[in-house]
Amino acid sequence: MSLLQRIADNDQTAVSECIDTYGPVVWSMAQRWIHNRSDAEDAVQEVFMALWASADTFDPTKAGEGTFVRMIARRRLIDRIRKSESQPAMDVDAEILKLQDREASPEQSVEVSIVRKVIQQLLSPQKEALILSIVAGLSHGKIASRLDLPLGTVKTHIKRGLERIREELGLAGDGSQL
Amino acid sequence: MTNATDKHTSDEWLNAVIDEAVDPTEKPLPANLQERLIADGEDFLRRRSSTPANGFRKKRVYLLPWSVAFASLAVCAVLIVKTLQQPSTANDLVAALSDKTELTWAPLDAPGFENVSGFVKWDNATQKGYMQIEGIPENDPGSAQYQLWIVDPQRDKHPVDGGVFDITAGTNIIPIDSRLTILEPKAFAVTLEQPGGVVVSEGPLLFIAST
Repeated sequence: MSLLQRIADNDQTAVSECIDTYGPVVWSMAQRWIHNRSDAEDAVQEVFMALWASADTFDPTKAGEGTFVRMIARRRLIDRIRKSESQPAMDVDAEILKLQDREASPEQSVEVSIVRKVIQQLLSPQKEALILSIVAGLSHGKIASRLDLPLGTVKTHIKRGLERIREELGLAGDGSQL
Repeated sequence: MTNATDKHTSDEWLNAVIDEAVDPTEKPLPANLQERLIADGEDFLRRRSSTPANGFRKKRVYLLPWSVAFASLAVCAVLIVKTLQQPSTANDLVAALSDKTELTWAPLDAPGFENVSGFVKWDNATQKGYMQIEGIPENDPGSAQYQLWIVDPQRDKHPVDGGVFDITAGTNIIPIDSRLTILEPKAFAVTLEQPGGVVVSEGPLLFIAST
């Protein structure tokens, strides 16, 4: 039984295991999105409260537990960023450099490995536009301003990048984010 | 490794996968944050176990005949003991409290809460209190719970979590469960939040009791 399923079953020992397992990921995401340390700590608490409250909706046949945690974390962090109208703290250039050197780890899912390879193969500025949109959470307008590109070009870059990822994952035609 | 088939195909799922592919960094949790999370988690499970959700009831349906019999006996026993041990109104419950703050609920602009009435009584010495609330909608604990906030500028610029509670038909007498020591409460306010409550509320204040 997964950690979230155990939490949904009111297993107290699963709480600390869940924090040990996913705390470092959520803390890292919160620091990426939120500059102020005490705000980032509050955000992590919000994420875990939301995670426990939705633990009974986790379906291991539809998503890995780690991916589900990231989905919940992103949802809460994006809400928080949008309400505060602040900018994510992520250094995108540094992340892209790290991306080039990153090898697949045994813990990574097949999907993550495929997506990483596709993004590594994307050319600038499409790669930057996609990362700024999905990973840094910037609006299309802010991406256009940062990359000095027309708004329409930014939207096209992101749309085509996502289409390419969906194709590689065998999800072509399942949906679009734009 | 997991298989790419039979998975989510939603935008949220895809974005989470992209997020992990680009930045799989993990940073050790600060010790104080880890302690707060563990306290939050234990509190969440304790509160949820005291407020049975739909899923909880569904999982135990197969035990229904025996459960009903035992539960009936247990409920009767608890009710008898409580009746003997506790007064029947919030006024009686806090009559013995010393150094108590007493405030009356007042509506704000929230629709459906115009007729709120009742009061809050808080005893700083014992850090205990009770509130009586009438005239507000019942909540479905599976989808939302009321949450009390205690405004204590001496302690913090942010309101302190006073715990979640549920409203049922009729008069509701609710003990206040503050997780932090209250120094000088200036006001009490209520929001409607997700089950289990939130750390920082973003919802509108529904009604308030202030000095």
